[in-house]
Amino acid sequence: MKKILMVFMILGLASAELSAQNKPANSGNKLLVFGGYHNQLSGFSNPRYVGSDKGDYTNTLAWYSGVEYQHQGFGSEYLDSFTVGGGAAFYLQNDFTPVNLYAVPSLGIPAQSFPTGTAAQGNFQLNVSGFAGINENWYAVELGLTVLMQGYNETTRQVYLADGTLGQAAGRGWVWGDNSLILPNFYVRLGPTNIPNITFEILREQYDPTYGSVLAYVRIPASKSFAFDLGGSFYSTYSFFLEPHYSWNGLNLNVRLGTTLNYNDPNFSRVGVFEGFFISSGLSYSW
Amino acid sequence: MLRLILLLLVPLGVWGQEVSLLTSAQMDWLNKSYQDQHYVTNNWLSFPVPEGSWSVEVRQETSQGHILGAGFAQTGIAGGQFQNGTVAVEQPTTVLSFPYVFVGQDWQWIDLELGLGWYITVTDFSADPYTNADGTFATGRAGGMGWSREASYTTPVFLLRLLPEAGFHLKFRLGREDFSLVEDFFNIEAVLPAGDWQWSAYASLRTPQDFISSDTALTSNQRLGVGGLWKVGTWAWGIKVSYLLNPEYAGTGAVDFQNRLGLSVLWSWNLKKTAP
Repeated sequence: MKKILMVFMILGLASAELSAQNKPANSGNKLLVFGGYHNQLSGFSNPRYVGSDKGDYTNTLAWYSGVEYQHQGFGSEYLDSFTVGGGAAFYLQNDFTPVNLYAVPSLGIPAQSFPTGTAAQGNFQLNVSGFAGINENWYAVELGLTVLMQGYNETTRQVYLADGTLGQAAGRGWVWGDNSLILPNFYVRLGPTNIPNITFEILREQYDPTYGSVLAYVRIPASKSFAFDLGGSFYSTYSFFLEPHYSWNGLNLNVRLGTTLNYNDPNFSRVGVFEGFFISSGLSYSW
Repeated sequence: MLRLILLLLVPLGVWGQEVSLLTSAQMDWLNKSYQDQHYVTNNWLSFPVPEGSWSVEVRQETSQGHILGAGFAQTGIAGGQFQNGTVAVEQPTTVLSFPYVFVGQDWQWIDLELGLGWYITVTDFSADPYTNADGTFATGRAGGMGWSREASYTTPVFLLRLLPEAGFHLKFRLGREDFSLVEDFFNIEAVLPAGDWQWSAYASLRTPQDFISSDTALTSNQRLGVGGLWKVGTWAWGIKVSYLLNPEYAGTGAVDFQNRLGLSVLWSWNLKKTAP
């Protein structure tokens, strides 16, 4: 324990040395690539539970990856703080394993399967974004637009048979949906990067396209090469994460470990502790 | 979690020139509302269960006014049951925990501190039987204390101080300093330092509504309170008394006068280092 405390004391001394610097650490060009994983849940109401909480769920794996590039400065004194950039993120989710529930005739409950239709099928999402703003020592503000293009894995389609009854036909596989959206993206950092600071962001940096697109973090630089983020998301799930960063010669490696606190769905009031864990990692290079 | 926060704060003993530790404990009644079956109109009543809170916050400020800190607050609500005619109204035993971290800048006349907190609800779930195909009941979900994800949140925290700390000043606080997670999560305090004493009056407000769904939003009661803090060197002891205005957390039923009262005690330590 004493050794651990000594290490942190040394890191603290390095932190004090850093506070004398007065330059945004993220000035210049920056390229970030990231990827992550979470457990995607699909909830449903199961009337076989006797109490008031009928919520139940099934789950599947979901992955995401992304890239973001940012450029700052355009050779003019007046444009030194000006930033422009763009990014893309891709999300992929497997089909849900259907849950088949028996009928309870005495209570009038029919046999049921969850989830059904497109909700049961795997889906994907491609986000493409552009943004611009200013990055000063004390703050950074960047605004932009993100296009969300969504699709799904159509495994079956319902068809009319020759006798007029309904039947199943093979689906078309992975297809684009018609529910694309254009949303604003947003990034605000308050506080210099060489001392503890806070960042609020929507669809920016290392985000989870479905479970964590609105997030915030407090960054604590402990030394020139080591920093800690304590953060969380607000949409579509509430979450907590801890993210250590290691930097070396412009390269920055981080690992984000966290857990979902709240799925914003009444069917998920009692989700197992381990099912809520998620992990992601990012590698960036600044020059 | 607390150990992790303490570890993170160790390097800041070097970073900060002013270090303060604030702890508090609070006792109130939680008034669980129910609709009395004996009345046809004006039938919202409530029954009280004991509620206790404690909090600890460490805050460091450099000579340039840069601020970093972290805290932990916890509120425990005792379980209770009231038989209302043929219906039993229950308040489950609940423990609310709230670790948080913040950064900020003190410009003397204005101090703005922003951060993040994680509101975690652990509550006593009742056992939930599951219906078999033949209509009989099987063991379903087990009862007992468990994490209620539906009532857990990530939330911003903030403290905005207007006017210098040495004189009369105002504080707007969400999840900061001394607070109960149920009674005064979001509050405004007017503070008047007078020699070794510091007098205060505060009003706790409705929490900001969740932008996704107000049905599942973080809620808090509203109270009015006054307090006094006695400073002796680097130490300070204080007491606050408060009165419940709006029992929103457990439903709005009529609440007796004695069950609206709350009492909190504070203990703080503040050390200003000489500049290196």
